Parts: sequence; structure tokens; C-alpha cells
Amino acid sequence: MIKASNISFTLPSGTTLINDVSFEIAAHDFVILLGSNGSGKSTIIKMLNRQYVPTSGKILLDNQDLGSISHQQFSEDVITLTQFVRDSLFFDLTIAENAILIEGSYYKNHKQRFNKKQFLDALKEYLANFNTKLATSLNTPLFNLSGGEQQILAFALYLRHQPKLLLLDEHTSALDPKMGQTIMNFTAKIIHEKKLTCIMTTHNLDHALNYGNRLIALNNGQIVFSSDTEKKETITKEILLEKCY
Amino acid sequence: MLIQTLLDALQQAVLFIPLTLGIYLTYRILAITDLTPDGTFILGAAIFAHCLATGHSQVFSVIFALLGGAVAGIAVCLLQRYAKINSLLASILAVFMLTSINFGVMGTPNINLLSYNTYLNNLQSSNITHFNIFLISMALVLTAGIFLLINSRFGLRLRAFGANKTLLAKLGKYPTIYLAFGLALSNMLAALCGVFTAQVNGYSDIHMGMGMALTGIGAVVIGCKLTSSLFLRNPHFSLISDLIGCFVGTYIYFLIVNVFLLIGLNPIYLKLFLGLILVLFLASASYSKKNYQKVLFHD
Repeated sequence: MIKASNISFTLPSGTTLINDVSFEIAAHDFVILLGSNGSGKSTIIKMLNRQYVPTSGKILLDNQDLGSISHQQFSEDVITLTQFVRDSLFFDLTIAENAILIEGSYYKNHKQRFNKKQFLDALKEYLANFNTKLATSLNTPLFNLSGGEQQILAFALYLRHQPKLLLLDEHTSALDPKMGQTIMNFTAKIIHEKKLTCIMTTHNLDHALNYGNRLIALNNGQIVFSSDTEKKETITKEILLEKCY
Repeated sequence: MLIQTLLDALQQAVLFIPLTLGIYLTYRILAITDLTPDGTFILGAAIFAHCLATGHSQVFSVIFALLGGAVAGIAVCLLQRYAKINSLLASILAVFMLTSINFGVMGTPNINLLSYNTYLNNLQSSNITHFNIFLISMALVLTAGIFLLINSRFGLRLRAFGANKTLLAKLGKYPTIYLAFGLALSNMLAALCGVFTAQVNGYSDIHMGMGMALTGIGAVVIGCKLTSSLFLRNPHFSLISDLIGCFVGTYIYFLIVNVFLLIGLNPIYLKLFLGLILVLFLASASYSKKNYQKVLFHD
């Protein structure tokens, strides 16, 4: 599914953020990427979503070089959600307008006719599965929603169709602990139901231990620890603290 | 006297509506400050006058003028996109360069159009009612056009550009297309306004566009602020309220100009006082936004 071979990323100033890292991720894997601040977690996410281009090495998605995938196809294949909902949704627009913009690309890529009325009717029904308030507030601008509602909306709108890869970059860190836990449970449920391939960065050791079937720990731009399903169950907080921080 | 002042202001406002709508498109929808209409307003008038003077028909002269405005808008987009110059500076540079281009197009600082029987000038002198009906109809048709455009899915992407162009790119769209379209249409409308003004005034002049963009921004700010505070309970976007605001703002602006002249203000100080009124509106718009943010984030 994903194969990163000897990837490095060095800033123009000469600072190396990722140093010769290789990993493979199979379809339907839910991988937790753990590490201290500056360990390179977000840099890897940014290389995977093409915000950064590796200075050396290469990344393959389904045996296709990441850089060679068309702009529109990539926007459908790889979805990134971060703690900053503004990176995923238009705050000044309404729920319906956001949905039309996000879904419109999908219709165009698949050469399907877009019927606004039919779409909005279906959207109402679809959003009711996630949050009833969202379903009844299609004409509400996003700045009138709470942080948790915005994050649920981002999930709902971006995961309406199956992406090849879901990247979550500390997506619960801006929420209060209770809402963070709610969103995390929601995330796990969606990933399980849709059988998504997901890479999630986090600082939360409980989340790292309780979610996902694999764990990769980074320190100073290098992988210091990697586990498969069996090993992951034997990992403790103490081990993670020692390896990552 | 008062009724005449109100009517004069209305006529001037309707004539100015194309430019206000163009500014609305860039300032409110694309969320960029584009001062290029200062140059494209004259460019429209200059191309129209030059084409007429060289024997072209009025229709072709108007089409060439509109194309001139659109090309200038696209050039400003290229300055922003490829030369990486910010929108305000790119438009100031464009106006700077357009001064030479406009001079080059006209060949002289002004061209008299009275001898060419231009459509609007003819209509104005032969039947003032028809002239007013034409101007109002034109303004309504253009407004309806902008309404349909912004209400379309393409229009939604123009708004999305203004809201977050990085995210628009992330969704697989090319933001430059929307920027180029918005700037081209905005400057086309400014050129159209220049053509109308040249026809009504009976001449095209190299200095006729100074301060036009700022006037347009002022009208948009004044109008949208007034209509949103009158019609809307929350500060969310409403296209109908905004478009009514464009009309109201333009009318108020010209009403203020006429009132200043009526009370005998020395025309030398007209722009100073108009500027102060714009400062007042811009500042009040900014302060009301801050107050709203306080309510939203701290209460």
C-alpha cells in the first residue's frame, strides 16, 4: 500500500528533519506515529500528503510514485485532517457549501452529474448518522459550530467516499479531554467500519496504546521503535516514555 | 433643489454600478484589494475613444474596451501568481504601468467624443427618461448576472478562494483560475464603467480614473455594512443583502459628494472630506467586526 524507502527531508537552512527513514504500511493498517515535539512526525505526514517533497528517497502509494499522481486524483486518494479544522473546512461558508465544494470534486473526477437538491437531501440523511445538529443546520456557517462538531463534520464530509489513505495529524489535540476522547472513539469507529488505511500522529500515550494495530516511534528524525500487532499489546507507557521522550 | 440633488446622485450612482460590482467581486468575494480599476476605468474609456476615432463601430469599440479590461485583470493575476507580488502592490504597479499604456492608446491626454454621436450621449440629449431607464436596466442586468454567477457552483469556488485558497487547492482546484477570472471580470466591469462615463461626459481623459477603486471600495464597505446591520441577525454572508448594499453604498457615496457641493464645499477639499468619510466607515466596519469577535470568543 505505502512504501517509503530511505526518505530524508532537509530544510534549505541545512537542518535535517527526517533522516533516512524506511517503512511499509499495508492496506487497512491503523498506524500510530508517536514521538516528542520535533521528532519528525508531522514532517512525515507532510511528505505523505505532498506538502513536502523528500530531499532523498521515494514514497510509493500502491506502487505508484507519490509525485506522479495527478492533483485531482491525489486530493481524492489521500485525506489529511489536523487539529486545525481550518486546514480542512471553509470556516466562512455553511455546512452545505462546504459539502458541495468537497463533494463537487468527487463528482467531477468521476464524471457524474451533480444535482444540488438531491445532493442536499442525501447529505441531511448522511449527516444525521454522525450528529443530528449538523443534519439540521445545513445553512449554518462553520464558525457557529463547536470545535468537536467541526471535527466530526470534517470526518463526515471527507470520508463520504473511501480514500486510499487517511492521515490524522494530532487531530484531537485542540479539543478538551472529554471531546478529544469522544472524537477519538468516533475516529476508531469510522476507521474500523470503513476499513481505512490510516496513519495517526499523537502525543497522547493512552491513545497510542489503545488505538491502532501498529505503532512507529520517532526520535530526532529517525525510527527508534516499530511494532506489529502482537508486540503492540505488550508495550507499556514506560517503554514509550523511554524510547520517545 | 433637494430632489434634484437626490436624483443627480441616483443617476451618478447607477452609472457607477458596474465598477462597484467589479470591486465587490474582488474585495468581498475574492478577499483581495485590487486597485487596478483606477487604470482599467481609463483604459476602457481610452480604447473606446481610440476605436471610435479610428473608424470602428460603437459595438466593436465597447467589445475591445471590455477585452482591454479583462487582459489587464489577467496581467495583474500573473503578477500575483508568477512574480509573487502581493495583490495590493501588484495592482499599484499595474496602475503605474497602465498610465503609460492609456496615454499610448489615446495618443493625447484627452479625446473629444461629442462629434461621434455616442449612444449614451445621444440618448441623454434626446430623451432623458430613456437614458435613465437604460442606465437602471443595465445596472439591474449586471447585478442579476453577478447574482447568478455567485450563486452558481463556480461562484461558490470564487467565494472559497476568498475564504481559503490553500484549501481550495487541496481539493484539487487551481486557485489561479479563480483569481484570473475574478480579476478579469472585475476589471472588465471597470472598463465598462469607463466607457459609459466617457460617453456621458463626451470625452475620454487620461486623469478620469483617479481614486475610482477607492471610491468603489468605499461604496462596497458603506453599503454592505449598512444592509447587513439592517437585514441580518448574524454577520454571515448574504448575497442579496450585499448586492443591495452595493447599490445603497454607491448611492450614499454620490449623495455625500452632491451634498458637499450643494453646501458650497470648495471642490479642492472634496476628496479630503470624502476620504475622511471613508475612513469613518472603514474604521466602524473594523470595530464592529472586533466587537463581534469578542462576543464570539470571550463571552
